[in-house]
Amino acid sequence: MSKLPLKIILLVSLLLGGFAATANTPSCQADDCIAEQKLYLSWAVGYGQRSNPLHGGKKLNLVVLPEIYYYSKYWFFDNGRLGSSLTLSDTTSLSIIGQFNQEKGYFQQWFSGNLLQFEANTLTMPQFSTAMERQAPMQIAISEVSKRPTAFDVGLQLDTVSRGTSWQLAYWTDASRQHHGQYASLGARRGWQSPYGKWQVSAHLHWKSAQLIDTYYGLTALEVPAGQEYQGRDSWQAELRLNWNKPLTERLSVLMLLRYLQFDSAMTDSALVRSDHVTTWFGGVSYRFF
Amino acid sequence: MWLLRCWLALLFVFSLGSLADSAADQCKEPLCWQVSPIVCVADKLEQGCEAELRVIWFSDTPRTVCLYLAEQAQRCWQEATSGQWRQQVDWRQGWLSMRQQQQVLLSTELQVLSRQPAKRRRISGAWSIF
Repeated sequence: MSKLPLKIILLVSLLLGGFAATANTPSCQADDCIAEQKLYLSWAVGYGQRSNPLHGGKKLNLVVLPEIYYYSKYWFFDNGRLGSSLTLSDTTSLSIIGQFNQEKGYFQQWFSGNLLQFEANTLTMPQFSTAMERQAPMQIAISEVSKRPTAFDVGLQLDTVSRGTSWQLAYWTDASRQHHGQYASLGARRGWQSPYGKWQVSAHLHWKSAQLIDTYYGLTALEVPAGQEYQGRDSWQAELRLNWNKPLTERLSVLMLLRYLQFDSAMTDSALVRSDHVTTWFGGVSYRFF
Repeated sequence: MWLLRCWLALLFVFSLGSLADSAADQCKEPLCWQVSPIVCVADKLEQGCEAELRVIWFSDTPRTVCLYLAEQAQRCWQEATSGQWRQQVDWRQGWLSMRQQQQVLLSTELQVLSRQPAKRRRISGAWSIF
């Protein structure tokens, strides 16, 4: 048993403690509360990176990021997620959502999940590092294993708001019969405004089934020498996000995005996996067209 | 000024008269009514809406009926074959009915529409593609 569960508990309790301490803001906050039947489109230009936790995997350099969403009365599209919501009460909704599985993004940069993010590998920039990279006894690079599938998942997501904090519970399953697995997440999100800008912080705890982990990070006897195979297990992963933006005009803002994803031993026991975490950061300016 | 008021009053009487005539012509049931408008347009839904509501009704036999807005009687008629009513009403009260001894004979819903589209909460955080 690794020290990961303790890390997860500390991270999540730190965030939720912060949420409780600032619990008096209205439940529908300006940036979270949007008009139906209106297209929102923004582009951010700047620079950032997403680390790749796999041996032989390239860092994803981020130059342009899109933010696109549209909510009609019956369906919505929100940054690559397509779905339909049922309003259960003023503060609670249940949504059925479809989206591409994100695991493929570590294996292939021009994957749909990374589609609108530019790659610029000639640039070298400093990378955040909050944990020691793992020294695996053996290393298997992406190029040495067979191609991992592109999967499309369908899920149910319950969203509710309590004292200004958005809570989210989601359960996903493979609709494309590629990984035959499931995953779930529980998370909280909160935004607030200060003289220094607008902030949004979120914490999620993810569970990914053994089939899902095995499909992407498992190693079969056909891919590796005898004795080095890996059979995927259920994985628990903790995620923290921090968004900051400072409006300069009605449409132009300066923004900074940070994301940290922590893996457990079900991931790091695979010889494909080099690091026990993924860090993503981006800084730049955004312009809202609609 | 009084000339303008008289002209407007006259115009209103004529318009009600012509409205009543056309409603009477269109009535092919034992009891029918014309309610207008049934939609009130507000700037924002939560602000509510107030507007003048007009009701004209006709019956082929004399009736004792009352007009209700929500559960409150607004006007009653004794053994009448027609009637007219107009008043400034709060649209949030929502439901208009014509009743005879508490039996609902006719009813309609008063709808409030907003110039601004409905608001809802996003299911994803900002820049969630990141």
